[in-house]
Amino acid sequence: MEISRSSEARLHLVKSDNAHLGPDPEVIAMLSELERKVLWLSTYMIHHANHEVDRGDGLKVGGHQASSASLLTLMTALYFHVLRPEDRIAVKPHAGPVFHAIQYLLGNQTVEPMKNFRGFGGVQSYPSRTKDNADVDFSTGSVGLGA
Amino acid sequence: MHAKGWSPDWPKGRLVSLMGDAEIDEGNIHEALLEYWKHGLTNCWWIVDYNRQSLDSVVSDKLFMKVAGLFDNLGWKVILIKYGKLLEAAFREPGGERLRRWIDDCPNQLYSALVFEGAKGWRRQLEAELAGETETLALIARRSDSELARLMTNLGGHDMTAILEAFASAPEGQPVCFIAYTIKGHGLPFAGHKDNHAGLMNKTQMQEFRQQQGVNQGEEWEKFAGLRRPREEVESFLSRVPFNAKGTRTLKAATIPVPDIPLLDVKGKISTQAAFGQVLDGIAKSGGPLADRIVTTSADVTVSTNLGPWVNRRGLFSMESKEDVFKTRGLMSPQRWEMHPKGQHIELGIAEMNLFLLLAAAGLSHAHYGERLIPIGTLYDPFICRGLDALNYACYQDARFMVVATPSGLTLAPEGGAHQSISTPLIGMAQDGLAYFEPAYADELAVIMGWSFAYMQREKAGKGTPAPVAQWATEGASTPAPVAQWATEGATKITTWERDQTGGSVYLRLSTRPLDQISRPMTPALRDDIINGGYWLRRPEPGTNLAIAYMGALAPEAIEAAGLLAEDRRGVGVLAITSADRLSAGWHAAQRDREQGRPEAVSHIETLLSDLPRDAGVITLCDGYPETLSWLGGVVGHRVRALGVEHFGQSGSLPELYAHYGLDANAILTAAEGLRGRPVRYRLGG
Repeated sequence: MEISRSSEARLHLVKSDNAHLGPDPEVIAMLSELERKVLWLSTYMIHHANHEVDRGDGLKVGGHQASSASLLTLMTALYFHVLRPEDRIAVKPHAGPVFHAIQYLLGNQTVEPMKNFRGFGGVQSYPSRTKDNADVDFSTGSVGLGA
Repeated sequence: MHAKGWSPDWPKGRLVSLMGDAEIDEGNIHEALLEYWKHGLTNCWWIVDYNRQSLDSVVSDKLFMKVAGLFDNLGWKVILIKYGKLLEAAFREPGGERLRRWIDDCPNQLYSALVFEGAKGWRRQLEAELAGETETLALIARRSDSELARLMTNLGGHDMTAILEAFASAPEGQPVCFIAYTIKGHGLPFAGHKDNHAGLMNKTQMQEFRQQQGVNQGEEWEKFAGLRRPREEVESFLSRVPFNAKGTRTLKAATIPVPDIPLLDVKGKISTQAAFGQVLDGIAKSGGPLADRIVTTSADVTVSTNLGPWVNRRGLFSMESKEDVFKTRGLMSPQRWEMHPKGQHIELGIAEMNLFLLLAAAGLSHAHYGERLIPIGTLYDPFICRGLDALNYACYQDARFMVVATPSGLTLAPEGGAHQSISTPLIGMAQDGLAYFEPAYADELAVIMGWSFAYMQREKAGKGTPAPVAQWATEGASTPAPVAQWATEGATKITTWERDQTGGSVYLRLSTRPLDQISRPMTPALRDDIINGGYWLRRPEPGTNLAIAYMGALAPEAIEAAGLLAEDRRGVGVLAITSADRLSAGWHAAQRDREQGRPEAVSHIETLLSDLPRDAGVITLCDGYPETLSWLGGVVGHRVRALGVEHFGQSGSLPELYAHYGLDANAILTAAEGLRGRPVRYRLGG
């Protein structure tokens, strides 16, 4: 599907400086609430894959709850407020669950693949252009690539 | 894009990279930084998650700020997101400055440990270390345990207000590196603990955490469970999020029509590398949409990989125009290198990771920016291994590009062992998303390049729906992307496979060895064969007991040996392999298809080898690891002697090295004796 490129949309998005990104108490309150929600979803996604389903192969499923949490506030601010459609983003691989949870809240991801995090057909451990169904701009996973 | 006048209605976006602090240890980050500086990068944000913990330990304290200095040196704006608003307010209280100094001096290990220990640990530590600082102690004493823990962990990277202020302060026209101080595991029970990297919360911890979040059992996946604001408000906010304003982010671009690439009019000998330069020069000269969309790049080997003529015609890319000083001063040089925004060659420093990262980025231009590019990168074949991770990553992202690796194998003879490539044919075969060719003749190369420009533009039918595998490549109507005309005219029907239908990138392994060319008409059947991976240069006679299968620049050795064998082995076949990769992929696909109930499926190599009696032997010849072709024996069941290079090279003339590594005509004759027992009478002297 071709993205609409009407000049109206462009005018709306062109920015001469970044001052409008500055803190507005209403926005801060909403973002902080979404941050809590993303923390829950990303943490639970990893927990569910490791403790609530048996994939039958005896292997540890894994996931990075701590390393996801450290980027949580930044990613919440970026995806729900700062980023624009024309921006292209590479996400630190271990923060994959945060990315998936945000896409879910934005309506770009469904529950089933998240229930199947790191499983066959589920959301990928590290965001993948080719394997994830939400739009991933850059696949990451090899340390240092994607920057 | 904007420099080219493309996408005039598309606003300039930013490239935003969210990275872990330990990623700074990777060398390719630094290689990229240097290249960015040369090309005047703007519109780029790197946001470093400075949680001060790498995988096994806590990143050493002082080193990181030296890295920040590096960014600054290279023209980046460095913005620290260090303290949250609570801490900043506390610093303004009496005794606050001393608290700031304490935090700044606190070793990362200790800080992490205190985060994990919580309020009691903070209070004990602060009271011990700040004994006698009455104002600061009072500041601490005024706070309850939970207030103190919140204060001491209020780093900038977890403070929404501090983060938004930082983003708002970012300058335009300069790359920006945000260093956000964060705590690994922030908000979770194991926050700060050095062993938490891959640690998981246990079930009890998770249950407590669920209750804290206000999420009821059974509502774990509910979008709005546990939110403390009215659902309508949240929904309304989410519906206005700018990131989502234009729907899908994966754009589409029209395919660039691929004209017929004319065959070169070669007088005398030519190498595939020289032919590559001439084909590209011809495209540059004749112009058209394809010529305008090609972007070439090279890691400091532009001239020695034969890109020179192309660059002379199409110029170097630069955001600003720069004259060629040699030209303006009237000095003679074969290189006329003018730099301007319309230029179509990007010259890189000698860092192959950057080469493949650039090919990956340019090769996704259609999906990222809705403008299609045809990127071509050149390098010496052995140095594929230097950029291999980035090559793999480019393919994993389904970027589309052509990598031309030349010289390759023993044709780098004078350069010695370190510059001769042995393993690259196997990389070409095993790398998903990369179609590998190694032609011998200029006409083959022109055919392959023409096909490649279309193959690089083929697309999946739809995301998540694999294309059907059992269709015939020659049935043009079902082919998803532009295929040059001849593909519909071929005589043989062979099995295609998913990757063949959905396209990919292309790897050409070329040589600097000049070869006498074959004068022949380029028939549709021959074109098909070259693309499918091989053809009988000399068809085996019925009843023959030997065939020689060669790849690339070893054609003369195969032909010479077949001639010398004429009296002792009747009707020896000579099989030209243009792509071991596509031959084997087709063979695998046909086997799979037959297993899945399509008995009519047949691959190109099966068709070719069915012309050879079952009890005949096959000698395979490749300037690389011999297993590149030894699998040919498994197709129909021929006995194979695989010749190739197994050990590091050394300097020498090409005949000397071919003799030493067992790739010359005599080696083929010896192999023929070994396969069939009977002696061979004629050998090369010397």
